[in-house]
Amino acid sequence: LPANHSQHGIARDTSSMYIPEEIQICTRKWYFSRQEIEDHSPSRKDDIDHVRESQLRKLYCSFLQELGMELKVPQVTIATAMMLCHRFYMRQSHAKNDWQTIATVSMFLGCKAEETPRWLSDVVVVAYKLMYKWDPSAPQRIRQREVYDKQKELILIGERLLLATVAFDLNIEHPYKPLIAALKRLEISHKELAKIAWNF
Amino acid sequence: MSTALSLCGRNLVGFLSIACFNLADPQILLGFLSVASIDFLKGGAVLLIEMDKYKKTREIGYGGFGNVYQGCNRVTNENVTLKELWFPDEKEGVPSVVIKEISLLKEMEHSNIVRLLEVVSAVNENSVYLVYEDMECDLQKFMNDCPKIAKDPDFIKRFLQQILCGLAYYHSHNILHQDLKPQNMWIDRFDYILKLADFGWARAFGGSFKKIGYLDVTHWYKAPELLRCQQFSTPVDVWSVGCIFAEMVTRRPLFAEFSEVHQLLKIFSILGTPTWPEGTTSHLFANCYSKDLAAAVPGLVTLEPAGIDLLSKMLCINPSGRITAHDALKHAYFDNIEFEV
Repeated sequence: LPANHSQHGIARDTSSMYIPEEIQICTRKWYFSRQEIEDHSPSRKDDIDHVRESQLRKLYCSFLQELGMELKVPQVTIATAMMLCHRFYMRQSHAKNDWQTIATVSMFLGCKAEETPRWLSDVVVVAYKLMYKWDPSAPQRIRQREVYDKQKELILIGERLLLATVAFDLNIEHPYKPLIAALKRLEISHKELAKIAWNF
Repeated sequence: MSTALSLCGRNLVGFLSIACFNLADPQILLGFLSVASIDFLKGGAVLLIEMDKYKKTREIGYGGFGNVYQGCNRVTNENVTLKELWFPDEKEGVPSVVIKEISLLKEMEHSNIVRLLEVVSAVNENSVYLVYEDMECDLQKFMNDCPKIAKDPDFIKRFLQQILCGLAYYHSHNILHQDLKPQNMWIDRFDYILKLADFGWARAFGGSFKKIGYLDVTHWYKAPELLRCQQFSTPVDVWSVGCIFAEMVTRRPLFAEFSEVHQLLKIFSILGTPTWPEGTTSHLFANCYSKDLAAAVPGLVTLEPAGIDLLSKMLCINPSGRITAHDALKHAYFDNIEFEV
């Protein structure tokens, strides 16, 4: 019989075969050190400092929270959309990518990934109204075919860009369920602590 | 990576413009994406990256959702399999099944599963190409070309173990393959590594995939509960593996009928017809008895008793009584497998 290379995985202990090392490397690529986030994010190259980026991060997160509530999606979907946004800006610069567009795209994609789909038309219209909250003529404007089509087109282009940027890594595991389990296990009934941990 | 990024006006949108992104190498991706941004695209620019990287050499199959091509990387000359996924007139962007499946498949990293190398997306075409590693030979071809090796009981054992390893991995990720057949298993002729391939996308789309030049064998490996359109889960894959196991031993498909109805009758004629308790309308194959497999299929005499036992557990008509891929790997049949380091 020809030699069989052992590294190719015919191992007697089959249980060890389920989590090959490659996967661990694969998932590790979305973990960043504080230094990487603060000093080396793509936005830094475009003279957007850490403080400004943190502000932008807050902005898109609250935008997503509001958008998600308007669209009546579960909190998990909102969290996924936020993660997608975070991932996007770890590979792309704020200077070249309008955060409102990217956030809207993240929500649209997050809805698909979490199997809580929302119609593209709903996402486009609701997001547009949110973006121009200060402008009373906005709800009127988005009803115009031209404005709507342009906005929709932009979201669809953005979807491809986001998919390409995050390289289809859309399986995001959220810490919420393990958190509840941990609180239970540690018998912590302190509501305030749970709330802070949840919103961390 | 050949990334020819060019700026052009809206009137050029109709041109073939393909964005190509290497999933394995974020560095390359970064280089290209720093140029492509939403502001850039908003201005009417189009991502124009020619699919120069891959050359389609020949069409090897077709399915309801696009064709499958053999291709090669123009730079490295490496052979690949290109599976086109086509979503016509998708008003809601990239379909969520495609998104879900690709993100799942991307996480599949196992030595017995064909690797998804990258996804090549056609920006203004409604399709994406999945690029898989290519291997020269599938199990069907291998059994025809190298009958001596393929007949060897140790090789059969080894191949079966690799099939089950890959399958157990799929199942541990809650993925059904649903289209296991010898044509969907690639064999590396140098080290005899077997890898499960999945170009059918049967799971996601319910469509079947036909390989050019082959008989339509889609139902030969189908489990009875699939043939009867009942609820099904991971046991359907184990059934298919059982059929392939028997085929490796006897050198001929175990159940090969023209239609799905004949297929089911054939299964019952070999394994015994399940009986239902009177008065029940239950469609579960609850009470089924198994005939002696070795007696029913003469070609199986060469198989050792442990193998017969494993096979009959895999071909249990009742899906809930069928052995799982994980348990099958622990079966006594594999106890005496030889390892060479």
